[in-house]
Amino acid sequence: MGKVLFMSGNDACVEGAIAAGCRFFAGYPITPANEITERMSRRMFEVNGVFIQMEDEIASICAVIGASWAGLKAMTATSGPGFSLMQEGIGYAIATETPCVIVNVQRIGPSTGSIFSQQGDVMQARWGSHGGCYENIVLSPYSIQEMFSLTIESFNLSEEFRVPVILLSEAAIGHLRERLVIPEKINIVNRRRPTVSIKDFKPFKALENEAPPMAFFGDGYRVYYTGHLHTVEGFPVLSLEKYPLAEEVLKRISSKIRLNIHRITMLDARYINDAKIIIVSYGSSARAALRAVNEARKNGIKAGYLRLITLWPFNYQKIRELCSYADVVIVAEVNNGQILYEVQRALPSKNVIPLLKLADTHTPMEVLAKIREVV
Amino acid sequence: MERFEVRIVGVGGQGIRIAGIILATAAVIDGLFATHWPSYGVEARGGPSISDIVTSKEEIDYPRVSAADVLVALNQEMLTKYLNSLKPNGLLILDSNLTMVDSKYKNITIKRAPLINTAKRIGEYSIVNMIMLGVLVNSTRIVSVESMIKSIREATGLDKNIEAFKLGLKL
Repeated sequence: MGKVLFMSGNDACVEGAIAAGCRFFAGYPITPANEITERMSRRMFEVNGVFIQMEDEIASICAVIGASWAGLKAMTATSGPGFSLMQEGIGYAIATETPCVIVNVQRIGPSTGSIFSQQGDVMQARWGSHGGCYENIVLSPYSIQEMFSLTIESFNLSEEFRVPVILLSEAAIGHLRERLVIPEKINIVNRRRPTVSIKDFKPFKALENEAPPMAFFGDGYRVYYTGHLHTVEGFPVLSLEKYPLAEEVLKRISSKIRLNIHRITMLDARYINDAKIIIVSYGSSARAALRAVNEARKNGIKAGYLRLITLWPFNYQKIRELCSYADVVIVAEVNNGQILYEVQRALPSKNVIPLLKLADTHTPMEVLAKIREVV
Repeated sequence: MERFEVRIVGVGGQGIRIAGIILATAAVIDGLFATHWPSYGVEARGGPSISDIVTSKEEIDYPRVSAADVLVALNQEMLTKYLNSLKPNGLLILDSNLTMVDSKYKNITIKRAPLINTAKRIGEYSIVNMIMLGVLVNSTRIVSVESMIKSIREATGLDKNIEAFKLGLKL
């Protein structure tokens, strides 16, 4: 076993980022993500990285994008109100295929809301940026160990697919403290670099299921980054007449994710095979769901536990396979119903029922009561 | 040891949050699984403050208190509000300035200790949480004294906190 520590989710996120190779952090303080910014301000200097407290969240995401173009693994952290401000920049990172990681430690909304937990940004994380012809990757940690490991995974996926990856945490996980075991061996993925001659390099040319190799500013390759539609050479396409020249890149920014969905999908399924009732949950709610399912099993109820680690892309087919024997599927989440409707789309012929609350997180008693109600 | 739940309640400024972190860290030093969940308002002083600590030999599924084995109260209002989170046969550790009027909790064990008065006598109100931890560890033995001392040193670096903890062990 590796080194055993005891720390908060936010602190574990910073250590995961550094282990993944993050050497640039730009952010603006906000509760409940503050501990990430605070720890980064110290840790970046210790690892010869760069820390900048920016003037706001818009500047933060833009600084992160620039750092990534210059060749660094870069990250920012915020909560809902700041995440809203970052949406334009996130779309820009998607369009320019810029690897970066955005941590959103969710708090209750809408608007300023307050500082306690909610899972309200699931749809914003998927659809928040305009011109929704894109796919992105969103991961949901449920423990301090996962705040560490999924931060690393966020960087790895972001480097491989050249896409901003959103680590969608919550106040209830960011401020929770737990044991963290630092593994002895950590798998790190780095972005591919171009090997062709400067003359032959097309910065956005790749197979439909992959991201192109990335040249850094200063390498000598000619790269033009634009939020406009662009050709494989990176040149802007502004007229409908010339649109066909841009379609290859526009299609590929979605297909590179869609065609790899099975590799990107991470699920935690327990007691599924004979389960008549399955609780689908994610993040902090999954902790209550797990305890409730453990209790239900002790009482002879055939309950199953299915936790979504990858929220987006949503793997409808996999959910369908795993829930094929269940009579009832309960979706527990802390919002008005967001993943609920995706599960219903995945299981059109099943009884998919909500277990929603608007603040903090579920208790095991609430989940168990719902299980007993449908038995 | 099976799952063991401790809830510490008080108000901002009494060191409720750091006390919970120190206790849970000591459990991890002892080789147990442990979680700490803080709940507090936006006020730096005077608002409600709760520390939930869960320890177990096995991995912990739900990291908050459902039915506390031990409830520690440093404030009257918070005691009244959170008394119902104690198990029917649980242990209640009370500052001796607080009054326990609810007679329906007849199977609980009550341990009264002069936490606030002792801290005031020494002239340092801020160590009340360390004295409390001494009483808590002495009454429950959920973690070792050695790990607690290590944990207090790691978190605060101050000898006076360790002295206050040792004082609490004897109250």
